[in-house]
Amino acid sequence: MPVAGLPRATFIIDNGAYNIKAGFATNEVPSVIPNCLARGRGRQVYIGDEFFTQCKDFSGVVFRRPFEKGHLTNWESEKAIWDRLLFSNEVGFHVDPDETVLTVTEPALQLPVCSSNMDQIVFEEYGFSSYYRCTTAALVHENETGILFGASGRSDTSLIIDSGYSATVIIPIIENNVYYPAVRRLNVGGKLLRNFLKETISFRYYNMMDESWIVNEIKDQCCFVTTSFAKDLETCKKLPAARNPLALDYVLPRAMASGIRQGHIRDKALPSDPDDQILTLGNERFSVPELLFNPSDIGMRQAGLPEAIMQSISAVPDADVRGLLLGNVVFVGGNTKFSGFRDRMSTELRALVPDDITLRLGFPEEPITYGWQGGAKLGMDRTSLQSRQVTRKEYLEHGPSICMRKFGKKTVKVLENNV
Amino acid sequence: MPLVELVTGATAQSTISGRKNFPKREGDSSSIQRAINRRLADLERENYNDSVKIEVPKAEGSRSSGKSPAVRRILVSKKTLSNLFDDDETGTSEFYSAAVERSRYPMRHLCSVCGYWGAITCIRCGARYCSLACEDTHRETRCLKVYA
Repeated sequence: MPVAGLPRATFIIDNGAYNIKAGFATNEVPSVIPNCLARGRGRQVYIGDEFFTQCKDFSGVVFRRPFEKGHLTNWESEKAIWDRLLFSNEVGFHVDPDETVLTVTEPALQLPVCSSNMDQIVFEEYGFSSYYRCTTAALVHENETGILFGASGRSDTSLIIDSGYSATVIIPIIENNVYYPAVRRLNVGGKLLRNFLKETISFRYYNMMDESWIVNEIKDQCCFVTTSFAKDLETCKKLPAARNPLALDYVLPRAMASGIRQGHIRDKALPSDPDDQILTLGNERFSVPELLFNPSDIGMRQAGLPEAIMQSISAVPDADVRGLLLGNVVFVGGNTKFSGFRDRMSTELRALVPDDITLRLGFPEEPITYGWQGGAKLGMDRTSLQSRQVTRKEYLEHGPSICMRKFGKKTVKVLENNV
Repeated sequence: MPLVELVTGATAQSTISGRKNFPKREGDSSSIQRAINRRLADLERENYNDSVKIEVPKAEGSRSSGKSPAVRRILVSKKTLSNLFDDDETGTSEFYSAAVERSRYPMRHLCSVCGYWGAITCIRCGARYCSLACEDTHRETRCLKVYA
């Protein structure tokens, strides 16, 4: 029964550097829209989802993102994207901030000033009635993660790995709070993989340095994670492209006039069209995602993701908690969607973890929207959300510092007692 | 940009290879390291052409913006991330201290031209390649173009 004076709608924004996943808690699935401004060859600027609905030619498109290296620094552009998301007819949410509770995610290691700027915009510019800011990992943790391990329910301790556009971040959540001393950031994300693929294609085949979007499509469609790097590298070296089972022909999208915006993988069974421009990919297909496991391949002085996970774990002082974390590992983010990622990660991690520890790795079906789903689940749990959020009244009384206090780092009791 | 392995002790009397007058790298180690860092920074870029400026379109009938002076200040702020890092030392050090550290295992080397194992190191710039064919390509394209 609705209580008089309390807002009814809860809106969740999983604000990623690449995509925004947004929707009301009552929606089944979120809307996924690009978190950027895009400009095509024709000088026309597209905000967010306009890029998909209005842009006719994906060639030569440049992007401007509100995020810089994993921090939300540019509110001029973010506000334009949010205005369209919240209020436009095309997106269709018609959010009324006065009557809405807002949940927004922020990057785990963001500079405090960026978080504070968001707090001020939410309350003073949009005027939401109340608000909760947290990391995507905290929302992922709200899901019934037991299902991922063939069980049910959820643990209050889990290790979330969010491999997104800016970077891959490892976030241990202990007793429902993020344990910041063990959060680790690996600077390999979708952006680096795309740029490395772009550099490689441009050096070896066609110059595509201006084609960020098309190369990103190629990465998503053609790349995979190999479980035997040495073997696949030999295959690609020894066999010519025609006989190499790993080589792939990619048909590049044609120019504007033809209306074909998307490239696709050539089906070798069908006769080839002489008008098609073909890009043949070989070891790039697996050496690009390989950077997640061996960043030193391009000279980065960071360990790969399995070893980085162990670095994070070793920063947790209690052995029992470490075991709990390794028994509840969840992978989210676009980079976990590469075919072969799961097998490779299981093999490498199992080799690094002591064999008396039960390792359980969870891979949600929809790694991009899983965080939002957790937010929606939390949004439906009114009491839980109420205890975490800051209301507009509280903000006006105490100022932005109340947000920094309430959303800031919490001490983890179980570790405090043992230390 | 080439992958580089720094060879220590490249002096006139090297006992490692048993040869005297071991040829010195033409690019010195600091410019080679600068080139590596520049390449890694390039890989972090959003667009190839860095000077691209995309203006936020003025929407017709947009909600009035900048309701409070604090918000107006945030919206017009042109501060980049490096400005913000300069402003906040503690935040910056916390951010960098959370970075994943080096691997305990030795790095592997791939050919900078074709991607196969890179067993041979370029004498002049330290980049790796796998065969004579790739060496030719390397000499013609990337070798020492960077250190000019």
